[in-house]
This record gives sequence, structure tokens and C-alpha cells, in this order.
Amino acid sequence: MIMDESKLCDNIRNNLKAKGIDISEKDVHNLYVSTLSNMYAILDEGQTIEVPDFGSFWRKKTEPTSVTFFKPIERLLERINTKRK
Amino acid sequence: MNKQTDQLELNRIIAQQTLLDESVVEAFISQLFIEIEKSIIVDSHIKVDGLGIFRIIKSGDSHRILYLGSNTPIDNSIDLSHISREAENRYSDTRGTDTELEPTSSLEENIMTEEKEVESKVSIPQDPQDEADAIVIRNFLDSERNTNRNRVVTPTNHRKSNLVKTCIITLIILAVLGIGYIILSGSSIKPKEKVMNNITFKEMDNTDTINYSRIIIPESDVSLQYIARTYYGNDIYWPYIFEANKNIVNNQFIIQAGSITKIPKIAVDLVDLHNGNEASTVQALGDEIYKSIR
Repeated sequence: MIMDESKLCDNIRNNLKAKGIDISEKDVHNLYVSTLSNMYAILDEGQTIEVPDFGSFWRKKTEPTSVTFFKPIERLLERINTKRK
Repeated sequence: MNKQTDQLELNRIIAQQTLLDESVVEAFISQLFIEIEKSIIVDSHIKVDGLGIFRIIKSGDSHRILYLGSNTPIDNSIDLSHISREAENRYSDTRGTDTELEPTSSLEENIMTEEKEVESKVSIPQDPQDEADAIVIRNFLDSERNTNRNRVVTPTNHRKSNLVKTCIITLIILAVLGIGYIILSGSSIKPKEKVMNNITFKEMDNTDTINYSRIIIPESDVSLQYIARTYYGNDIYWPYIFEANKNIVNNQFIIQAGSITKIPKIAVDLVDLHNGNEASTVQALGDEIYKSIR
């Protein structure tokens, strides 16, 4: 399934609103684009990105293509295994 | 080991680009990954543009995440026009209060005249806040003016536009012909399997029996499909071999002779190949890997 950006942004906006952070649709869109494009750029520089409570991403540059890896944190796997049982 | 990115540094860069507070950026990133986690749990297989594909697979008694990173950045741009407009509106409101008694006929004035008027007013700011607004408004007006200038239709522009249209149409026709050729010639986007007979594998000591069922060394070059067929009974499982051996698989999906190859433990009954939907999901995963490598 391809994540629908507008639906995803709507959910995030509503959840942020519930936490007292009220930002416009365009701001959420900009945050989404900026986050993903900066993550891509940082990985391309060979750095590791650690997303709190989710996992780590890093990219290994090889020829002819680069491969991006992801290592989930243990708690994420535990949550997934618990919810899927 | 690679340099670790400081989370605050990432927040700072995004905050600068989006002109939002760093605390908002931090909350957004946290919420984004919460939403991704929710989707993985519900759908088992999701694709996030610019990030990649996450898929949950059953491995033994538990589930694991199979991740295939995106090789292309997100195809979208940041739009800050609403922020410029907000600043402009704020300035206009202030101006409106100051000049309540001015005649409404000013609305009908020429846009250029109005722009000049605004510019002349913003050029003499009274305090730092006004100065910041003035800079934003001036930049906005400049960009609007440049856009309008670019929109002016001249014969040269018209010819260029026609040339671009012709090029696009030609490319579309070529693409359609290419797709037609592929369909007619019976090709599919599936890695071609090198014809191989009687390939033997040397088995090594398996030091990680939790994750791998075997560690082998092929004695000649071998395709992922051949290994999948040998060890799982069906070549459709080749993406699992790929995932465990990304570093030694070449872009022809071949593992070279002498490479230490890991055979991951998977529940081969995970996918009911007689069920069309499940088989096509595995097939789709393979196709995604194939497209990302090619």
C-alpha cells in the first residue's frame, strides 16, 4: 500500500492539534517534504539517522546502486509482535 | 561506523526551511513515525515516498521488518507563499488602520502603482518587526513580479513552448512504443535467471541459527532464484535471499562463486501460493526490489 500523503498529513495535523500545536495544512505539507528530503540528503552524505522510538537508517554506497538499511529498535518489534498476535 | 546525525541538527535544518519552530518540527517527526508504525501494523506492507518500503514478514515465531530504502528523493517542493502572504496581509491590516479615511478608489489603481506604493512604505520601517515584514513583502513582490515577467508571451517563448510540447509528445509516444514492445515480446520485469545446472553449495558452520537456517558458499555463480528454489522449494522467495545478502548481490541478481551466502529462516508456509492475492504481493515485493536496483 502506498501511503497517501494528504491523508497522512491530515492525521498528523489532527494529532498535533490535540497536543496543542495548531499548524496549517501547508505547514504540515512543508514539514513532510522537508523531513523526507533532508533525511534522504543526510543518508546520502553517509550519516546515520536515529529516529527516537523507531529505529536507525543508514546508507551504504556501492556500485552501481546504493542500499539503505533500517534497524528497528527492540521495542518497535515487541510492539509489532504484540499487536499482531 | 558512520557519523551519527544529531537529531537537533536535523530539526534545526527543517525549522529553517519551513520557517517553523524547532519544537513543532520535533513533534511532527515523532508523529510522522507513529503514523508509519500504525500503518505497518495494519497493512503489513507500506511504501513511503522518499523513504522506502516497509514490510512485515513472519520469521519463525515472531515478525520482522523487511525494509527496502528508496533510491530517489521525494518529488515535491516546499511552498512558503502562504507565509509571505500572511506577512503582507498583516502589513496591509496595519496600513488600513492607519489610513481609514482614505478613499476606496485606491483599490482600482494599477497593480504596479500599488506595488511601488507598498515598496516605498516598506522601505522606511519604524521598528525591527516592521523591517522584517518589509523584507518578506519585498521578496514576495519581487518573486511575483519575476513570475509575471516570465509569463509574458513573446513569439520566441511561444516557439519554445511548442518545441517543449513536441518533445514531450515524442517522449510519450516512444514510451508507449517501448511498453508495447515489452508486452509483445513477452518480457516481464522479473530478473532473468541464468541457466544453471547442478550447482553445488558448500555448507559452512551456522553461527546464527536463530536468524539463518544455513550458511552456504556456491561453487559457481548462481542466481537468487536458483538458491530460493533449492532451499525454499520455490523461486518466488528470492527477495528474502536478496534481503539477507544485499552486500554480495550484483545488479544481475547473481551471487558470485565463493561468496558467503546466508539463507534466512522464514516460514515457507507464510505465503499460500494458490492464493492469488498473496502470491501477487510477494511478486510485487520482488518487482519493487528489481525496479529499485535497475
